[in-house]
Amino acid sequence: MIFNSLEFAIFLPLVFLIYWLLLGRMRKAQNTFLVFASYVFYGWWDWRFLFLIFASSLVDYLVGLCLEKAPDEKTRLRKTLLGISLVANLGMLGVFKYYNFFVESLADAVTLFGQQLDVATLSWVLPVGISFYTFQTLSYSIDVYRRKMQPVHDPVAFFAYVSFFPQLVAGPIERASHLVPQFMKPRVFSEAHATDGLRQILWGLFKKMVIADNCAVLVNQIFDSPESYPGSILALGAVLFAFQIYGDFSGYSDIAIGTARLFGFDIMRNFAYPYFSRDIAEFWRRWHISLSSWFKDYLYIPLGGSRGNKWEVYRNVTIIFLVSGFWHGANWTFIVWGALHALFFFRLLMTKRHRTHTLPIAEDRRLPTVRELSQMLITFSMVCVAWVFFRADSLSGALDYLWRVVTTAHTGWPTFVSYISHEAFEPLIMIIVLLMIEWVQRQKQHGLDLRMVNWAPARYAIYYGMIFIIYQYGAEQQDFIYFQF
Amino acid sequence: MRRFLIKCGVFSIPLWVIFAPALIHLETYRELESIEVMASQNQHNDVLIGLAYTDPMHLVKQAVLKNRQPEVIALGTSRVLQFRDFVFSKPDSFYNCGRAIGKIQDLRAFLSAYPHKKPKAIILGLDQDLFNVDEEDLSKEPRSYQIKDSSYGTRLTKGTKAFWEAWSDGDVVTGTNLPGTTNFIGRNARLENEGYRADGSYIYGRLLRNAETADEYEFGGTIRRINKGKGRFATATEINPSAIQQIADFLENCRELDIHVVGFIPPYAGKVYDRLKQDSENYPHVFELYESLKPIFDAEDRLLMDFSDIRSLGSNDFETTDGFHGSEVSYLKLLRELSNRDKILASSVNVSALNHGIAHTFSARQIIEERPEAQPRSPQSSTSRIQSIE
Repeated sequence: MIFNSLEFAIFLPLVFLIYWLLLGRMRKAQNTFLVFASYVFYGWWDWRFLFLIFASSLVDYLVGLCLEKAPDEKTRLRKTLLGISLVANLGMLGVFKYYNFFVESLADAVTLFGQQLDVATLSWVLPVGISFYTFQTLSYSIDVYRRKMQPVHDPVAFFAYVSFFPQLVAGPIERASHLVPQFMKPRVFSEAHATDGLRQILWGLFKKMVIADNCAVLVNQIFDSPESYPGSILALGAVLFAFQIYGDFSGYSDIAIGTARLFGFDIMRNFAYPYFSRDIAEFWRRWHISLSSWFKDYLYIPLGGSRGNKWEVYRNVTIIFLVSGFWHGANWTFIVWGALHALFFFRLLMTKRHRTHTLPIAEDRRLPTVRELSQMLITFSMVCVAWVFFRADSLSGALDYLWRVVTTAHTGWPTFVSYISHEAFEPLIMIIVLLMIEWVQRQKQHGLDLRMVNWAPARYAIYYGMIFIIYQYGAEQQDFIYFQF
Repeated sequence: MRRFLIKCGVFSIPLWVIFAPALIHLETYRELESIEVMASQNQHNDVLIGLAYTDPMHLVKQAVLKNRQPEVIALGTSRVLQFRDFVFSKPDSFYNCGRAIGKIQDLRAFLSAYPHKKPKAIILGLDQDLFNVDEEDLSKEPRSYQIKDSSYGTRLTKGTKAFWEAWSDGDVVTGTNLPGTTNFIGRNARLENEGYRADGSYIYGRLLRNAETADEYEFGGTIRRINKGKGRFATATEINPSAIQQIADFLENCRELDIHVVGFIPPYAGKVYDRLKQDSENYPHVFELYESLKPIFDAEDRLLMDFSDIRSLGSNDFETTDGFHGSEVSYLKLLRELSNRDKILASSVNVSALNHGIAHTFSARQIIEERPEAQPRSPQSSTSRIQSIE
């Protein structure tokens, strides 16, 4: 089931009413019902893969209990238990997501030496959300292993944490230490909380259906046949993809967070207006925050973080960006995407400016300075170049695309003008609307956070206006990009 | 909690007011069926598809092609919709892909999206107006033929938008079924007996039943459009050379795929043709098209025939649906002309069924299959016969 579908529009109110009206004061019954609803939500896509979530939950639940009983001095036993969790979760990922990549890359490598290697590939569908919920359960086992949290004894609460439907298939990747305690305590309905949740859902739908889905149509056309377009339109294609993926993924996160709030849960923020970043380091503090912080806590810091010598820091940064790229998909394009971001980051590391922009942009001003504006534009341009690798089907495709941008950017300006005034006109107007709203709201949690608007008619006018825009300008429904990861 | 639910309920009232009437209307007339359902019911249950608000037929036809795997297809705009399956040796081996194409650049997109098993032959209709250099923008993206069934929500959104647009134009009508229209998808099929048959051809229910009161009576509507010189009847300075090149590319593409192509330029009613002729220097894409296309068809050793004047088929103006759509009878004649000159096409045509259809068709405009043994028709009495269909 996907968020922008009619099925979900029926499912959500139904689950909400049962959860609060029938089970309002029964915490355990609420948790049991959430597990059931979450499994229905996931099984709607393909019920056969429910066993993977179940298996992942069961392994980590049992590992958690065993780790609690294993004393600290039995290091080997504790490591073995953690190993079981790592093997089970990363094994599932390896088989379903990376097996074909590895065997095909091996076959390609062997070909370089003049040999042929026949490899058997798997034609299985990648289970939706596998990268998200395996990372979520892994973080639990690691935290229990490190004694950073107590293991969960209530199996229902733990299964509800792993399968919680708002963030099951595309995050945010929640930490057990943050979400599990919320399942362990009674929930009280808060009208303000739920109303803001609905506002955030509406904002997420706008980003997904109006921005991402409209951009997707043009992006698919441009990236499918770059030879048909001049460089100026190809450059625009990269910009449109930047907004497509932002609208798509951050829209999903907004709907997820808003939905969770309807049920009385707070889940972590995943995006904080990343295209207003002044450098790549700031971009990564604002983009896919739950994954960045996951890698920071469970990979970067264990590797030594920024504590070692200069070369160790460079090595750690490289590893984290390459792994982050590889997490997105089993393709060299994602690895190069990660590598490019690492390169952009090195420039800041060398000058020790990677922590320069930790405060919000134009905090006490309405508009950015010219310097800030140019910093944002430069950062955005760098991000767009990297997005070309992320979107392209192959490395050669990405390089060809960028080569065409560089070599033919000066041609076809009448075509470009016609393109932006016809085909791309509506999406570009909507992108401008998005940026304007986000700029005004940049210090709020989301674009439709209207708690400061006290006059109810104004708030309602904004809601109806937003619904009208989604209805009128929403494009053909597209799958969420991050489902494939 | 109660307060929150009441607020949500009150908030949603205006939304229901907008959605509910449209939803009820669209569901009543089955306007929101999926492509898969339409394709399957159209083929297996002979359900007539006549949607009034949206037009996904190019995708429905792609879905049908996937299962039907015809040997011969008619390809073009609405001006090839009159070809019928029963005049082919194996009726199931023919499928009419009329309206699958809306512009020249759609041809190659259609072919590249065509399911794995390609047809043996394509009867290609080349509308004159597609070659108007001043009207047709070949830089526009072709249609997408990717059969991706849109969700119910997407269909509902599109349907309700189209519904309210039609409502503002006064085009929303309701009523009861026409007698015998139990198998239908879409309002036009249900109320007007108008829509796509299982062979992909189109039955023009409303237009034919209301022939004398319609806007198109005696081609008045078409003549007015010519006088205005807009849209399909816009004047041109020349034939679009890029469009000609795209046809050449299409023919080459078909040769590579071992698909035989028979081309024709579709007919205008005699009265309409004469009106265009008065202004012939402004319609090079009508009067010089055959000369421009002939060399590229010759180069591929393919047949091209020009039937711009319906009288060249031995038909008269009674054998039309409107000013620029020949009738099914005239297309039987057209097919006979093509198959007389093209052996590959002839091998798929059932000549006796074709001749029988031409001689024994009850109506000049639409073949009424229910009366296959009707008496031979005389063109002079066609108008009164049309009325008697009622």
